[in-house]
Amino acid sequence: MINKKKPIIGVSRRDFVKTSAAVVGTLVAAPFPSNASPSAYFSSEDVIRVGLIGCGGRGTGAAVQALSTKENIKLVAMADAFSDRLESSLENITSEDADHAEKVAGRVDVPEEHRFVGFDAYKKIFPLVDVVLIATPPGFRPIHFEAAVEAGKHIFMEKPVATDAAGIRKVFETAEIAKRKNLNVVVGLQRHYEAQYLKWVEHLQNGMIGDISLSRVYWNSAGVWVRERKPGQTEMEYQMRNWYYFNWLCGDHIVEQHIHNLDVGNWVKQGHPVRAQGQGGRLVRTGKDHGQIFDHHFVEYEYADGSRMLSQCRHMPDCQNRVTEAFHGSNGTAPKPGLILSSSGHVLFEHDGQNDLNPYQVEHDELFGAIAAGDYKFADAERGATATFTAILGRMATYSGQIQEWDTAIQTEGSIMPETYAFDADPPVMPDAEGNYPIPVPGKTMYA
Amino acid sequence: MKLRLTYMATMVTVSIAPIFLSACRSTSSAPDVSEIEAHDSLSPTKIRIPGSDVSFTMIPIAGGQGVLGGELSDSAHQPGVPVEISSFWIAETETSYDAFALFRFRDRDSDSTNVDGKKLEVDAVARPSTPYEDPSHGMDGAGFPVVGITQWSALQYARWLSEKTGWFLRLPTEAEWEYACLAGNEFGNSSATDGSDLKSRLSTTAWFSENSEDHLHMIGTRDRDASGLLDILGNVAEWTLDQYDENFYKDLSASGSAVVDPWREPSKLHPRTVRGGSYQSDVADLSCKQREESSMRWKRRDPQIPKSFWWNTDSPFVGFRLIAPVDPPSAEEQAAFWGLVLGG
Repeated sequence: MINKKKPIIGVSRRDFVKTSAAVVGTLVAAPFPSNASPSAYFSSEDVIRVGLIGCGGRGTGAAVQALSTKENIKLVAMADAFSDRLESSLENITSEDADHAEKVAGRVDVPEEHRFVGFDAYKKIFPLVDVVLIATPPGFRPIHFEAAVEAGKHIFMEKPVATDAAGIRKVFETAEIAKRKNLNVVVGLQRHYEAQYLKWVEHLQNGMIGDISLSRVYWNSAGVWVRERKPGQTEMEYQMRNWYYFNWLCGDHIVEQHIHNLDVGNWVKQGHPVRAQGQGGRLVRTGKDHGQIFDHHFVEYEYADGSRMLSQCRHMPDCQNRVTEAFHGSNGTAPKPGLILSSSGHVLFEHDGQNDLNPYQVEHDELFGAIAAGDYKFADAERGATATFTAILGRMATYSGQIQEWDTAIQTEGSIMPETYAFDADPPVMPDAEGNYPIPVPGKTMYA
Repeated sequence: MKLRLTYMATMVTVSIAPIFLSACRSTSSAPDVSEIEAHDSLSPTKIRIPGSDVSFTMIPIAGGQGVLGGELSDSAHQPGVPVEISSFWIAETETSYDAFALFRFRDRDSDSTNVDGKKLEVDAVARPSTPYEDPSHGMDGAGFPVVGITQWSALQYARWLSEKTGWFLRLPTEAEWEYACLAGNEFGNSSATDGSDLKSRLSTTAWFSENSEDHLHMIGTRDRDASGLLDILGNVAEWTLDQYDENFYKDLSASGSAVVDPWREPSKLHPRTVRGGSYQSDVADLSCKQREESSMRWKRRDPQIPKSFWWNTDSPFVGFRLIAPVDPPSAEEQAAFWGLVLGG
C-alpha cells in the first residue's frame, strides 16, 4: 500500500549504520590508493573485470558501452532476478550479427557459474569483479549501491537512484562512504556527458542571460512498454516483470523519465528546490496492466532564491510530445538546449548537437578511462540522489495535493519497499479482487 | 548482382515462375470497392484503410525509359544509366502519422478488413514497440508525416497495409522514386542555387532549411508538383528499398543496355538509401537525383541493446511514401518478397 508506514526494509537502519561504520573503519586502514597504477589494484593481466547487475535492455546497453571503451575490459559476471533476461542479454552482447560485435569480441567471458539469478544474485558478483554496472529497476538501487560500495567496487549506475525518501537517505549516506573510499561513481544522467548540454549550462551558470527566475522542463510523451500478466506468475513476479507501473520498483514516470529534465533544472540553478506543489492523475492509462502510477503530473517547484521551475510530464499517446528544458533570465532566454538568446532575440550562443558524441558512450569512456589510470574523478551519486529526490518530491506533491517541503519530505519515515524479497512473498502493493491496484488520491493520500 | 526487381529476382532464386497478376482485379478481391472505382483506369485513386476514417490517394505514374543518376558530378551519382521503369502507383503524400498509428496501436486496428473474404488476424500482426523517447522529437502528430521509423518498420507497415487493402504496397526502389520525382519536376535534374528560378519554385513546393524553421510541417501545406505529388522533395526524406551502394550506377552501366526496374537488394542493415531531402536540407540538396545513405548514427542515442528494430532515436527527418506496381506480382511472389525484405 502506498500509504502504509512501516520501517525501512531489507537492511534495517540500525544494521546499516553498523555495517557502514565497519566499512569505513576498514577503509581508513587501507584506503584505495588514488594514484596507484592499475596493476596495484586490478586482477591479473591488468584486465578490468566488469559485472552487470540488471540484464534488461538498458543494462545490456550499458555492458556493451563499457566493453566498447578503449580500456582492457572483460565482462565476467552477470546477475538478474530472471534467468531468461540474463541469457537473452548475454546473447545480445555476444551476437556476431550485432553492430558492436567487433568491439566486444574477446571481451566477454561469463561462464555458467558466473551467471547469478534471483533477488540476492547481485551479492555473488562482487568477489569476481572490479567494476559493477547497476541497471536494475530503480527501487533496488539503494540496496545494490550500498552493497557495491561496501564491497569496494567502482560503479556505473542508472538513474533514478531510489523510489522513496528512505532509499534517498541511504544513497546519500552511501555516497559519502564511496567518496571516502575513492570509488568512482557515474550515474546515467547522460546529459552531463553531452557536449551540447555541458556548454549550454556553463553559459547559463556564468550569467549569460542574467538571473534565472523561471525554468520550464518537460517530458511529455506517449508512454512506455507494458508487460502483460502471464499465467502461473506470482504477484511478485508479475510486478517485477511489469515494473514500470509499480511505485516501489519505478517511482512513477515523473521519477523514472522526467528526472532527466528536473536534473537539468537543478544543474542550471546549482541547487535543488526547497518546496513543490502540483497536480496529477490518471486519465488515459487506466488499465489493470497500468498498476498504480499516474499518467500526468504538473509541478511547480520553488528554489531558495524564490525562482520557480514549472515541470510537466505526461504519458498519453496522440498528444503533443515534448522533451526539453528552457530557462528565462533577466537578460534573455534559453529556449532549448544548445540555444541562448538575448532579450532582443539575438543569438548569444548556439550549438548544434547533431554531431556530438553519443553521451551514453562518453559516460563509460570517461569512467573506465579514470579507473584504468587509477584516478578518482567521479562522484555522481549525490547529484543523482538530488535529482531523484526532486522528482520524488514532485510525486509526493501530486499524489497528496499538498505543498511538500524538501527538508521535511526527505525525512519521511517508512519505506515503500517490500518486507521480504521472494517470488512467493507479497509485494507492498496488491491488487483487489478485480485486479485493480490502489491509486493515489489527492487530498486523501498523505505520503507516497 | 541482381538487376531485376526482386520480387522477380526472388522468384528466380526460388524457381517460382514469374507470372504476374494483371492490373485488373476482380471486385470481390478488393475492399471498399466504391472508393477505388478508378483503380483500373489509371487515374488518381483514393484508398480508405478498412475500419478507419483514414484514407490516402495513389497517383499513377506511366512506365517508360529514363536515366538513373548522372547530372550530379560526384562518383555516387555517376554515370547516368538508361533504365526502363514499369508503371506504378505512388502515394500522393508521405505516409501520415494518422495512418501509421492504425498499425502502431493495436486498439485502433479493427477486424473489419475483408480481402478475398478473409479477415486479417489483427492480433497476430507484429507491431512497433513503444519507443522510450519520442522518435519525432516532439514534431509529429495528426496531419504530419510519420518520422523516426526504420526502413524495416516502414516495410512492416507496408505489408500490414497490403494485407488490409488487397493492394501490393511497398517502398519504391531508388530508380522508381527518382523516376516519379522527375515526372513531376522537370527541373529536378539539377540542383538549385541562390537566385535561380529553381530555388524560387522549390520555395513554393518544398519545406527545407530556409523556410522550415527547422521543424517538420503538416502534409499538404506546399504546392503540388506537376504529377500531383506533395512534398516529394523536402519535409521528410523517404526510405527506398535499396542498399546504398556508391558503385550501383557503375555496376548497372556495365550491362550496356537499359536495365529494367533495377534494385540494389540489401545485404546489410546500413547504409540504405533515402531520397528527397527534408526540412533540414539545404536547397542545393533538394534534387530528384540526390542520394543519401542511412547510418547507425540515426540510432546513436538508443540506450538499449538490442537497439529498436522499429524506431530511430536520431532521424526525425526520415519518413516514407509507398508505391504499388500497376502489374502486381502473384500472391506467392508477394509472400516471397515480404519474406525476403523482412526476414521470414
